[in-house]
Amino acid sequence: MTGRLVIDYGSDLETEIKAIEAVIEAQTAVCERFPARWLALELLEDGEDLRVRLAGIAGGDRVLAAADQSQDRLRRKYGDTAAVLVPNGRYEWINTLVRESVSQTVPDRPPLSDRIDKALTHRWFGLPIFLASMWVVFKLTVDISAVFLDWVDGLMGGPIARWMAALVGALGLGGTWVESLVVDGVVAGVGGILVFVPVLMALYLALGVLEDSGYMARAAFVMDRLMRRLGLQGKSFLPMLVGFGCTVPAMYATRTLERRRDRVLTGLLVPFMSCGARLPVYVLIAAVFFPRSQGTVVFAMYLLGIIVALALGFILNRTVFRAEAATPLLMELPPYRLPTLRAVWLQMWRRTSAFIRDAGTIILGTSLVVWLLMAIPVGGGRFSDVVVEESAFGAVSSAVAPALSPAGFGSWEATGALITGFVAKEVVVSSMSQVYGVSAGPATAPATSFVADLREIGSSFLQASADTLRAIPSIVGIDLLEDGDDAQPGALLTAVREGFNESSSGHGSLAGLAFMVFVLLYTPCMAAVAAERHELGARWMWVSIVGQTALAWGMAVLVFQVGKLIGFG
Amino acid sequence: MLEQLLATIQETGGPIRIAELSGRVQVQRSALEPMLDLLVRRGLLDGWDGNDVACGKEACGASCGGIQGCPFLGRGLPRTLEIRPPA
Repeated sequence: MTGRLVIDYGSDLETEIKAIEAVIEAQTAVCERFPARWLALELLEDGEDLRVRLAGIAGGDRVLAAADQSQDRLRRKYGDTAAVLVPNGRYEWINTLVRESVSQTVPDRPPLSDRIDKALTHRWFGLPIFLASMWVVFKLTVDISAVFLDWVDGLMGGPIARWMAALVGALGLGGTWVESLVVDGVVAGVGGILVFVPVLMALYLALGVLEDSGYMARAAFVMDRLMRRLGLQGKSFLPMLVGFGCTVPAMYATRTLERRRDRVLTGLLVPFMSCGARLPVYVLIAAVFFPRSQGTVVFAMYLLGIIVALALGFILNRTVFRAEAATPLLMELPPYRLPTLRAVWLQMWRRTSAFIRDAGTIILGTSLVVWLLMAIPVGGGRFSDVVVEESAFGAVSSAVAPALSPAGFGSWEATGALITGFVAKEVVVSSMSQVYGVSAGPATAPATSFVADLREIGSSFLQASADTLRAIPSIVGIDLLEDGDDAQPGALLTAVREGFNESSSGHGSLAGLAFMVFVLLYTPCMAAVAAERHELGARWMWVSIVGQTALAWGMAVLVFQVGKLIGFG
Repeated sequence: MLEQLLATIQETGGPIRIAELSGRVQVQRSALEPMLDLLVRRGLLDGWDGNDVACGKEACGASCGGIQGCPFLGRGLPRTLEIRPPA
């Protein structure tokens, strides 16, 4: 085969190529170094290196000027797409060549992933399938981990508390404020939140399976479609999806959005996504008031967060923020894979250990501060020997509590826990564990030997493992656990139930529901507020704090009052 | 060809999978992906993935294990392209 391959780029581009070629051919120094047509095409494609080289050659400036004029003319006619006219011509030529020379006798069978996607990302069925799969995740998470949750609870409230008290006693500090600090501060606070580690492990395991299988990417696809229908930028859902893990990186993720209005709007919506820290609160309250449908209640909270975010986005998009047409997204969905046990386990372990690290730092610190505030008397009495209601913690909480009475949880205990929740949401549970634990008085477990404790821990662990396996079929309604297997509610659960029943005049479950709604909607944590200030500025940070707290209060009151009116709970 | 790609994305009005786009423009996926990369390089498409969304240094800190170890669901985010809005 001989002869030069010349691609026809179409009349407009060919005219410009010829115009540049004419200038090149008039410059001998340039012509000697480069083939004229090749150089013209390179310059039209913005060859930066060539431009630098040409600038140093006699007559090169004239060639560059001619190329710039041609580009200007093409840009005026074709707009932004002028930048791809040359490669476009090549692709057209290749496409024509392929069509003329290749004939396909057997149609391509779409890969399995594409066939599955037709169902899972379907225009109408995609969203219900996504919601159903998330319901299964939460049902599995809560139901399967419940047995281990009780096991860890027993461990913390029994042997660990006894060992710590014995250790303090051995150091000659028994009966002093140090024992109170260790047992009521550290064990009750940090232990109270570590109880929920099995729930988080189960959730992270399920999410790991969804991520590893490739389904999580489909969630973004399905949600983009929904958000677009509501007039929101689908791209905003990506930071929101990160918000299910933690609000802080989600807030920083808003910077991937081009326009400031999108960044601010998304930044205001991100905190409504339930982060992992809120899960222990939902699980605790659901275990107290909705023991038979814990998974569904927890799922409902996550769903409510999405609904509130979408509704608020819809309203803000039509009022405060000027609506702009959303541009379509093109998504590269990874092929479906069978998740590997190792990858899923590693992922779960990373996330759980990050949570435990938090428990050792921020939760420990806050638990100690809460203990200190509970130990400081404000109406007489000695340090660390005071009725909690008469401590600094009790006094501040009691002052704020009336504001929450319309929502049914206006007790100083619940209010105090919510106030500490401004630091971090995990702290709500550790504070509840501290205040309700202290109010309920010390546990009166019989003293046993260290060896007997170890034996008890081992046998209860085996029993919990067996019960967990028997709990798996409950997801499809088959209950293999006998009635006697249902764990008796612990002291904390009983104290929380009594506290909520008292503050709501007997509508405890309704007050519990309103409490969960409040926790879902109010300011996530101090770190998230700092991220908000960094990304959106101080003004929007305050709008967010005040707006979220007001919305949380309004929604909680609505849930409690309307629930009472219709006779629920 | 490239203009047709951009027009097809714009016409969908909603999210579209790369596999679906490949079918619509009758270009095999292996040929389509370099075309999309070119459009990103030339500034006609914006592209981002889990790394861009979840890996803000301020959020994850220096000890972050990267997107594969992302504890915040960043690993599950798909690579996404969008027609760049006019400046």
